[in-house]
Amino acid sequence: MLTRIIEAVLILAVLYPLSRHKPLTRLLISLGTRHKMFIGVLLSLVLVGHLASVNSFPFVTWSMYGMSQSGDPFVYEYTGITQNGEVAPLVPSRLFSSMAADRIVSKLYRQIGSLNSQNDPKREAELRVQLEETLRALGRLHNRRFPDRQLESIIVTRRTVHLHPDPGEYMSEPRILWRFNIRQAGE
Amino acid sequence: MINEHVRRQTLGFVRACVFLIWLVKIIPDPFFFLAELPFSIFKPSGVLRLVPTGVWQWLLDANILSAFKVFLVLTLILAMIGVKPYRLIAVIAAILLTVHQGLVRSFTFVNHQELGLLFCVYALAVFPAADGFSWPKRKQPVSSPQTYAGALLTMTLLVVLPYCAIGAYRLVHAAPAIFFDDSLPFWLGSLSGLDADGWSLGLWVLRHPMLVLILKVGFLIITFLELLAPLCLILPRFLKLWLAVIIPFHFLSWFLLNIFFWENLLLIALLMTNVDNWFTCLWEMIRNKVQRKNIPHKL
Repeated sequence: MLTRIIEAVLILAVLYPLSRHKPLTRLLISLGTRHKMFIGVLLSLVLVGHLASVNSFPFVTWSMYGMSQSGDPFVYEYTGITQNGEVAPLVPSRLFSSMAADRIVSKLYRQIGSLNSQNDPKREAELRVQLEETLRALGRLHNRRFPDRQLESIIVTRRTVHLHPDPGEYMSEPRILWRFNIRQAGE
Repeated sequence: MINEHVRRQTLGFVRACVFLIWLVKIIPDPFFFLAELPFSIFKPSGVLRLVPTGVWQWLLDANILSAFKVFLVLTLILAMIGVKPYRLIAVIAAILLTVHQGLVRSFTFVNHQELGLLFCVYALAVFPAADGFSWPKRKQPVSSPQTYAGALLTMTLLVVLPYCAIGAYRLVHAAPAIFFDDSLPFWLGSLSGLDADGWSLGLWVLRHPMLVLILKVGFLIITFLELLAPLCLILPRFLKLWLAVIIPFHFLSWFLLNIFFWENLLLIALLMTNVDNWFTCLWEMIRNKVQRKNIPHKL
């Protein structure tokens, strides 16, 4: 709570010179009541949404790169296996525009992260099903886009990026985490 | 102060650009794909929680999502052109965009990338943004000249305020450790997995400790500039410094972290570079060229 108050004070301190700037205030005063109300309400929602830290989309907490990280990060890779047993890297940016690909790759990263850190077996089973269904959806999309390279299964591998490595060991060899079949029984 | 005098044509130009950016974002997005994802990962974001789950289960069908996208794209085109009744079209566009953006976040995660652009649409729906640079051409507008400047001011505030919030959050919640520990190298490594555009520079930088150190210093400077972003509105010299650092920073984030807020860059170009001046010059130049081309035909 205290940190939120300090944060609010810091933001208001930056905004204060704006409220003392004559041309700006003159312009705001000259606007009609409807526009003044709109500006007041929208800016308040942006600030309250940021400070409240609740699920308040589109008025969210702006916390980009706002938490310290430690340890070596992981990178996950997805490899498709075709009907003939050939290996085909599953690159989401080939299935989506790079903008949408970022979003789905980040989602997978979070799903795998949650699954890896889960201690409750029941929750772990749920997360595993969710990840499997997400990857299956990706696989189906791949198969629609590339009908001549139909994937049968997807292998998820993990590599560790060593932040303080011995020479030549910046990244670990890929370690297979899971292999999921894309087609469900009966398909 | 920036954008103190804005003509209706300039606000209209900004309106057209903002809706065009949305079209570039929405058209290639495979929105129907959400229907393929497991419903169990759907966690309604913010305002979308007001809609009952049963309604979402019905709506999250590939055909319905595709139809939604077509309707959204048509609305965005009409709003971009400034067709009458503009206000109604812009309000519908704002609602549809909020639902669209809320849905993709409900299935993935709540990030910030498009939110500044979304807030600008809210402003464009409330202010008379189709008085100029629109089709059909409007007669003499009833709005005062200050209203157009007020619209750009509001949009600029909505773009700089999130930067300020990001800087404040980082300084209050994570400073000073975040600038000296392994956080930045961690992101250079973990975000290399995104690699949507084929850069692997984050991993390459990790092999050069001196570059990592320089980036850490840059991270600290960027945070202070983010915090102070609202001052760009009233301090022209600070605005120049801010632009000189923040624009390269966005490109660096793209190359090193695979995160590119290109729509923010375009908004900065539109809202924080005295758009009224350069757009007027550009517009006059185009008109003169067109007139010169037409003269021989008339003769």
